[in-house]
Amino acid sequence: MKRNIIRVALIIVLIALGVGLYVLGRNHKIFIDNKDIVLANVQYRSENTFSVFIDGNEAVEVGKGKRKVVYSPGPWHTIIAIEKLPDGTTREIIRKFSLASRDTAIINLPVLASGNDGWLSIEGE
Amino acid sequence: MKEQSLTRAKNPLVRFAISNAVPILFVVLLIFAIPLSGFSSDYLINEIITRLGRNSFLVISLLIPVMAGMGLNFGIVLGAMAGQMGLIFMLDWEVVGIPGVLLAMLIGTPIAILLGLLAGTILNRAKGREMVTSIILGFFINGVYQLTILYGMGSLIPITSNKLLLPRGYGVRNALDLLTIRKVMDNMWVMKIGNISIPLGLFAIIAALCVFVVWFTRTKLGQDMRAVGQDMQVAATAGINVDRTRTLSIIISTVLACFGQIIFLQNIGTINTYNSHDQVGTFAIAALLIGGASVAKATIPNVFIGIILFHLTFIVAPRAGKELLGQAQIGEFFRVFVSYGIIAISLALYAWRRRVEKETERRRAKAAIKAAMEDKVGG
Repeated sequence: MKRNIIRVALIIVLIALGVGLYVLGRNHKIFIDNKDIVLANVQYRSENTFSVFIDGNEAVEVGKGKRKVVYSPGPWHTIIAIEKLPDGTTREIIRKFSLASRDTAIINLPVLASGNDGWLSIEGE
Repeated sequence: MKEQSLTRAKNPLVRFAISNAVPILFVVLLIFAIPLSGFSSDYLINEIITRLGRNSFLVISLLIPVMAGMGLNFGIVLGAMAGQMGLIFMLDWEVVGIPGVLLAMLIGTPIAILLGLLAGTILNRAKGREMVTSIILGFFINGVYQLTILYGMGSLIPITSNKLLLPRGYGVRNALDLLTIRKVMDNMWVMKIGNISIPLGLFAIIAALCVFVVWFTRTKLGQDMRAVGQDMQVAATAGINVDRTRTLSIIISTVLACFGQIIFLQNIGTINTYNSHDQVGTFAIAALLIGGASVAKATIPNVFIGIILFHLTFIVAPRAGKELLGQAQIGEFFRVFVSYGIIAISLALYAWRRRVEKETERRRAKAAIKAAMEDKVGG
């Protein structure tokens, strides 16, 4: 009896470990849009180029009207977007977001730069 | 006791040479081949370090069945297949990095346990012929594996990723990219000394496995395995469940081989779905034998000496063949010849030693009987 309980407990622990590893290691597709968008009757215009770092990975350059895709594992993510302003200066925006295991994220940079909500939309698979 | 009687020569140098004939032969071969190949020492050291990390786990997985008297476990291909199935699921579920490798191991473990249990049960019915039985068992399970992967996956077993499936909608493609986990274990913790990179993280894992093997030999189960390895009848008389002990040794070996294959493939960065596991047993066993192990005795130093000598031969042979004979292909043939040839030589040497031992024992017994009869007549 005791031996069976230990065995069942071990199986439960291993399944839980498997689920944990799946959640921690699951790769997410993250689209980064630098496109014009209308949200809640407000128009956000794509005007500048952005350098984007997702979770400290290599920089992705997203030009006006462009879309790029990056892959990043795990449920918790950080985006650092550096906007190149016309006067030659830059502006850094940092945001955190989380994704469920089968989610795909779409980040709109003009909305992110405006500081308003709605910069992140999530699609389940 | 057996090893002592094998090397009865009085001169310690001759005794050493007889006991270590295979590694000495390879050292001599390499002394000639390395300068001929023209490779730099940095290149050779880097290659050997990479190959030590890549292969150690697989070769260490052979130690426990040798301890249990089951010879060289050609059945580690079963573990390799389990590991590959784990990797296919990991790829389908898009789990990457270290969690991906661990998940593949977690998925592969129950499959390896089941295959190990099957192998152990069959090998218990073929006592004394374990090695040839495990080779044939490997071929049989390979058929089941191919059937499962080629027809079961995508139809009976859900695989959703189109990148993995054949265009017809079921069956896994021939070659799968492991870019998402490539060298993640090698790059966990790396130390650089000049041009040489040492994957300390991976070596720490291999060191932990070595500690586990040493610790295991001192446990009750480990001691039981030694007893079974020395004499099954004596072990059974002492109350050891011989069949269970032998089965456990094969299960442990198969599970370790499953992990070993995953470590091997994450280093390579690609799976040949239908034949990555084919040569695993042969190469691991050849490496262990070149390290000075025999069918009856294998130790951790044999593992590392064997991998270094075997893979150095692998690296330098094609270039040395090209420099010497103008054809790199000669070196390639030599590699295959070495792998299979060394297994054949080691097995023949083992059989010869066993025959010599039995002859010696028979002669001793005869002499003892003769002395006893003379005593009786004299008395």
